[in-house]
Formats: sequence, C-alpha cells, structure tokens
Amino acid sequence: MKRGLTSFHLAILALGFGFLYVPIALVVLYSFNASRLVTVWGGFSTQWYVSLLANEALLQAASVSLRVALAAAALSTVLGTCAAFALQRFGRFPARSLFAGLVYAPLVMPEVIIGLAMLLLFVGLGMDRGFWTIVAGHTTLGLCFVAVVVQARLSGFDRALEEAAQDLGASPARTFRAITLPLILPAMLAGFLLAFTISLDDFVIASFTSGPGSTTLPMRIYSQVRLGLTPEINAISTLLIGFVGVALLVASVVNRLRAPSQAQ
Amino acid sequence: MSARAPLSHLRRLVLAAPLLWLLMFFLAPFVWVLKIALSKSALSQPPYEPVLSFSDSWAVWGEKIASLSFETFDLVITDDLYLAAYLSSLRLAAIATLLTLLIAFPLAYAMTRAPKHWRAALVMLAIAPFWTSFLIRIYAWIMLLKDEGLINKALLSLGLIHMPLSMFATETAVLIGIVYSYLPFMILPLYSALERQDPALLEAASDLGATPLKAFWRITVPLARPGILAGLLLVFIPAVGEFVIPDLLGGSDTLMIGRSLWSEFFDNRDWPTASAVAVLLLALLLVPLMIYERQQVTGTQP
Amino acid sequence: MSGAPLLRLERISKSYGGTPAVQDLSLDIPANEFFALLGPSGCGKTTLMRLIAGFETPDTGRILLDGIDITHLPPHLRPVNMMFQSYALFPHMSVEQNIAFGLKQEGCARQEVVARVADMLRLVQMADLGKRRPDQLSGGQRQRVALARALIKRPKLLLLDEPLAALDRKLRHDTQFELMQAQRETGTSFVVVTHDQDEAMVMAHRMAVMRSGSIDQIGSPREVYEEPQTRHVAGFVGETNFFDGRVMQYMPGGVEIETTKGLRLEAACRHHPAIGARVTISIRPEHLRLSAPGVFSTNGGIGEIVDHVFREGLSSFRVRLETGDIVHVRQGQGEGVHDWARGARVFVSFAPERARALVV
Repeated sequence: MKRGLTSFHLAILALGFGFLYVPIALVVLYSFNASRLVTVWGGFSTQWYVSLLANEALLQAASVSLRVALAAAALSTVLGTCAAFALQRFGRFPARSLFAGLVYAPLVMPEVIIGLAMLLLFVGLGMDRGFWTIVAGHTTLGLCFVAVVVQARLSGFDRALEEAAQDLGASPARTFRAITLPLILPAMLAGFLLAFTISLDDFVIASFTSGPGSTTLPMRIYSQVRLGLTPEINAISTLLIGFVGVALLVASVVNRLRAPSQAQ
Repeated sequence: MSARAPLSHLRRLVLAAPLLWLLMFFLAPFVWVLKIALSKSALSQPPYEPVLSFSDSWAVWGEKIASLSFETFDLVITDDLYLAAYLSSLRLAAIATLLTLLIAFPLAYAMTRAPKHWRAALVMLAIAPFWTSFLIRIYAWIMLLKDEGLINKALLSLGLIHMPLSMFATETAVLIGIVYSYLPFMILPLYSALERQDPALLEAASDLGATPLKAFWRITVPLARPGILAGLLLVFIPAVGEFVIPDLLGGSDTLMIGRSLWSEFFDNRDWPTASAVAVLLLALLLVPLMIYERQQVTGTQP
Repeated sequence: MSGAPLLRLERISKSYGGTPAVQDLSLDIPANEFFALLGPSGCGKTTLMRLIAGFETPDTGRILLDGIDITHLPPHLRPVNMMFQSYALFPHMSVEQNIAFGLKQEGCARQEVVARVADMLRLVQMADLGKRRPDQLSGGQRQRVALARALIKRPKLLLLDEPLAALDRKLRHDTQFELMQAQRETGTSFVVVTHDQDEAMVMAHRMAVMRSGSIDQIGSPREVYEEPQTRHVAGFVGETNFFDGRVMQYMPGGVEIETTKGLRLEAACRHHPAIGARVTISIRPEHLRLSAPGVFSTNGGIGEIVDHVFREGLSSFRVRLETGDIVHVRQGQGEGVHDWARGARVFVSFAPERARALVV
C-alpha cells in the first residue's frame, strides 16, 4: 500500500517516456549522419548544418517565422492577459459566457477550420494576405493560450495581498505595478513562450493566411517532407529542438530563481 | 466575485480589446464560412458567387433566404466520398483517442506514484514534446515507419523479419501519429485528476476489504472521470479535423475530413464546398462538446 | 482475564530509511476494550496503527489477532477496520454507498447490505441523510459516516486515527461520549490514536503513553495520572510541577531531596534511587497548598502570587518562589480556601505522599 514507485511503475515510466522521446532523439542523432540516405548511418558529419546556411529559401522562411512569432506572441500576451483579467476579475458582466466561449473555443477547434474561416474573411474584406494576416491568425490562437495560463495564476492569487497594499496606502495603479504584475509576470512569460512556440510551429493556419513572399518555416519544411526524407530536415529540426530546449531550460531556471522570493 | 457591477472605463477597455479581436478574427470568419457555404461555386476570383450580401436590407434578406443555395450541402451530404471521409475521420479519431487513453492512464498513474520532488520534472518531461514542432514529430515517425525506415532496418538486422513490414502510408501509421502527437494532452488532465486524489481513499478501500484491483476500479477510475473526459475531448476533437498527420503518414486511400477540406480548397479551388465541409465538421464536433458540457453539469450536482 | 488477548504485538520494530519509528514494542489489547495510544507527534503512534491496519509491514516482530499471525496479511484481508483522520469518505458515493462499501467487498447479499446499512445509519443517528454526498455533510456528520463505514463489517478491532481532531471544541466533547457508546454497543475493541491527553483520559479504559517509538507506561487513565512512571508521562498527562534535585536521604515510603535551587523536599518514591542520584519530583497543581508563611512551615517554599485566574469553579495561581521556581497551584472553592491577592506572600507546600519522586 505504500505510495512509492514499484519496479512496475518505473517500467511504465521508462516505456512511456521512451515512446515520447526516442523518435525525437533519433531525428537529432541522424542529423549528424554523413550519408545522404537519412536512415543509413554513414558516419558522423555536420555537413547538413553547413548546407542549411546555403539554403536561401529556408533561411528566408525562418526569418519570416521568427518575426511572425515575435509579433504574434507579443500581441497574444497583451490581449490574453486582458482576457484573463476580464474572465477572472470582472464578475458576471453581460456577454460573459459568449466571451468565455470565444476564448476557449479556439483551443479545441481543428486548425483547418480556423485557417479556412480566416482566409475567407480576409478575402471577403479584400485584405492582402501576407505577414500581418499570419500574425492575426496566430494571435487569435495564442491569446487563448495566454488567457488560460494567466487566468490559472490569477485564480490562485491571494487577493488579500492587493488589499493589504491598498490598506497600506498604495493607489490601485501602484498596487497593480508593485504587487499584481510581479506575481503574474511568470505566468505572462510562460504564456508568451507558449504563444511564440505555437506560432513558430503552426503550419495549417499559416498555409491558409499567408500570401506570396511570406512563406513560413513550417510551410517550407512541410513541402520538403512531402518530397521525402532529407538530412537537411533533420538538421533544421535539431536546431529547432535545441532552440525550444534552451528556451524551456531558461524559463524553468528563471522560475526556480524567482520562486524563493515570492513565497505564497 | 461581485455580482453585476457596472464596469469602469479601464475595465471596459481591458475587456473590449480581446473581445473585439475575437469577434473580428474568430466569430466573424465563421459567419463568413456559412455565407460562402451557401454560395454557388464559380470559376472566378474569388471562386464563389455570393447569394447573401451583408449590404442588403433586412427585407431583401427574407426573399433571399428562400432562394439560398443549399446545393453545396446537398453535394456534401449525398456524395459517398464525403460521407466516407466523415465516418473514417470519426472512426480513426475514436480509435486513436482510446489508444491514447490506454497509454496515458498508466503513465499518468505512475507519475503520481513518483516521489514528490520528481513529479514537477516528470510533468515537464510530459509536456516538453508539445513544445517541439508538430511537423518534426511527424517527420520522426516517417523516418521510423518507412519501408526503408529505422524500425524495418532494426527488425531485419535482428533477423526477426525477412521482408520489410509496410507500415508507412497506412491507417496504422495515422493512428500512431495521432497517439504520439496528442499524448501530452491526455497525460496532463489525467495526471492532475489522479494527483489530487487523497491516498487515504485507496487505503480506506483496502481497509474495507477491496483488493488492489477492485479499489482501482471503484475508487481511482471513477474519481479520475473528469480528467478522463477532458482528455478524451482534448484529443478527439482536434484529431477528427487533423490534416497534417493523415497527409504525411497516411496512404492515398486514407480518408480524413480535414484532408478532404484541404484538397477541395487548395487543389480543386472549390471554396463553397470546402466551407460546407467545414460547417458540417463543426456541427459534428459540437456533439461531443455538448456531451462534455452536460457531464460537467451533472458531475457537479448529483 | 483468561486466554489469549485479542491483539498481541510482539517485539515490533519499524524504521524508515534508518530512522526508527517503532522500536522493539510489545503490547496486548483484550477484547471489548477502549484503548488509547497517546503521545506527541512523531512518537510512532501513527506508524503503530498503520502496522496494525496492514498499511505497513514491521521490520521485525509479529502481530497476532485472536492468536493468528497477521503480520504479512494485506490490509484488505484483515478483520481490522480503521477510521481515518481525514475520514477518507469516497466523494463520488452517497453516505449509504460509502457505508455499504465494505459489505459489498465481502459479496454480502443485497438485502442484508440494505438492512445492515440502515442499522448503522440508526446507530450513528444519520437515518435520514443516507442519500447525501460527503460534501453535503457537516464535519460532525462526516465523522459519524466514517465511524459507521468502519464498523459495518463488525471488525474485531477498530482503529481510530485522531478521530476528533477535525471537529470543533463543542462537538468534540459530545462526540467523545458517542464513541464510548458505540464501543459499548458493538463490543468491538477500539484503539484510538491521539495526541490530546484529555481525549484519552475521558474515553479510554486503558492507555499507553508513547515516546520516540516505544511505550513509557500502560495503565488506566487514573493510574497513569496518579502514578506516572517517568517524567515524560507526568508532564504529558495532565498538568504538573517539577522540581529537579538529588536524593539526600531515605524517608518512610519515599525520599528527601535537595533541589538544584536549594529547597529540601520530601516525596513518595516507587523506585530505589541511590543517595545522591538525580531525581525529579512531580506534584500536581491541585495537590499544592497555599498558606500564610509561619514557623511550622515544612516541605515547601515561600513565594509571591504572580497571577490569579478563576475558571470553571477553580482558582489557579502562579507563584514565584524565592528560589526563582514558578509553580502552578489550583484550589477548589470551599472552606479554608483563602482568596490570595496578587503580590501576596504565601507558603507553598504539599503532603509528601501526594508527590512522586521519579528517577530521571
């Protein structure tokens, strides 16, 4: 009856996490493959990383993706934080359930539907598709994720902290800056990172909302993957995995460093 | 939370910004989809002929509704290919969702049994794949499943098989892809439901004579129900509309509705039909959402 | 008493990662007894209870129930039930389903289950609340459901883990008597684990006072209160005053000591300490007397009243002796009791047979 780990549980954990990580690890491993045939090991080499640098189209797409992701994540964080405050703090305002529905629906909606719907709107309004339409699409999805993350933080927030600050003479604006903001900042940061990676990762919505000259990295990767396995994809994948891995590591370290100073 | 209090100007602004954004970029597009689904397809640019126009007066609308074009819906409903695609999407998504549950449950359960200081790291490990690119994860499985892929290579060199197994471009590959991609969505709600459970409940069941297996079925599983339902929903709904996985891992005969929509739109340039497909898919997905909503309500008030 | 006890623990030891929780402990509990395990947190009482219930297995030693070795029997096969401190009521089941759970595991016939659940609901006075869910019950009601659920299988032994800890003061008082009544009516042996000496004193036929994994003393509440064997027991059960010192000489039935502060005091002693050995005198507040300082004052010391509190018909005084010791004196209201004012000089003394000199 002990609540500890038995060897049975350990085996399950090993199998489960093996299933999750072995495929990714293999992608990384074979990016250092000297052979042009992806699944035939031909010795260690970093040549595919070198050839990436020569791939003009891929670099161009990567730069579009990064700029889209930054813009979308920034917009998502602002709008999503507003949405979280509205949901958590404004009581039962009129149209609350409509608003809540609008915030949660994109989380489960198949991306093909979101993408199609947005494209048709842009066409209907006669908007030129390109950089900003992709940003709009990604922001719509990203703001919902930010709202959920920040709302979770706000719901675990002891309002007595804000009341104490006001009781000690802080104005509402000052209370927000000195108390509320620092406490929800980690959640906003997590939300930003989430919106950023979702945008960087998205293929479907971008395909619908992009226009000529604004091909994103996933769109480029997709068209190469359709053509078959190439070691260059392994290399670019490895770079992306490394990028996300470092970002996650930094985020968790920052969180851990902050943790003692904000004992709750 | 306070009851209906008038919102201050600042609060109005804080609410208005995301609300207007979502109305503009999320709700309005769906109205548009409906409008185009009710249009006739045309060989123009954009490739449809609107029947409804938002500049019409209300009086004109009345007449027009009578003459709406339901031909695209007719087409989508009566065409066997679309029906087959819908059914096949539902079937594949359902099987994949159940498989995901079967894999995620023991994993989430084992995670709650781990020492406290491990658990945060394990949760992190379970979510991390979600942060790496979706396409990369699908690509990894192409590498593994192809005829000349790593799994066949390994099995051949071990002498377990003499001919490569054809796993790539099959429904099995699509199922594996969905399970792999959506596993974190199932693990998380299950883990949080299981982790909340008071270990004393299992001890109490055991103390009252329940074998470990019985205690699991009578206590652990029923109490994890909200997590199970949330996980099923989070996997099933996006899986039904999935495009990338069937397109990259499935064969040319793997029918899924997201793929049909995509090809109507990009390959056939039949926007009204693509819109009708989307509207029907959306209607289809409302069913599990409504069931879930009802479960939530009945779950909280016995 | 004849025959084997209901429960026998034989030289049980259990440690967690090298830290001993229970050390070489033996204990017998007869049938139909209300027994209390009393001790501060971390003394091993909870571990001991979990060992009896089967949630832990002892490193060494045996557990016998009715003469049968159950040391390695899993909890679901033991005819022992437990009432959890958190009550551990199944939140997704009604009160009736919770109570019926144990019987259903036995494969009891439906009709019998219904009848016995109804009996239990009546026993705990919850007859009309059977359809409720645990989250619709008050704390006291939950406690009673937990009791009914644990009793329905008619266990030979019922373990109760801090049964009153989650209740408020008033309810705790009433519930004590309900538990005693339930024990009498069912004839089951109750083993209550508690850190609250009042609870143990009120409810238990016998109690064991534990400290760091072993039992200091077992006896009726009265014996433990009046004849504490160790300083820990004297201090943990009831209020007391201590005087530390060394044995100066033997007296009839006791010893005379000189305290570290220089007082000469005489007290009864059940041990045989050597002359010069270190002992502690324990004297209960109600056995201290206050009088005006006089010529014939013996076995006590002069001091000054520091505080005076009147509560529940008793006067409590805090007195600072000239030696610097602070003593606590309690007096009933009656003839010969003087109402001493703050600052009054008094002589505090006691009859030697009321005090106990304990070997340290």
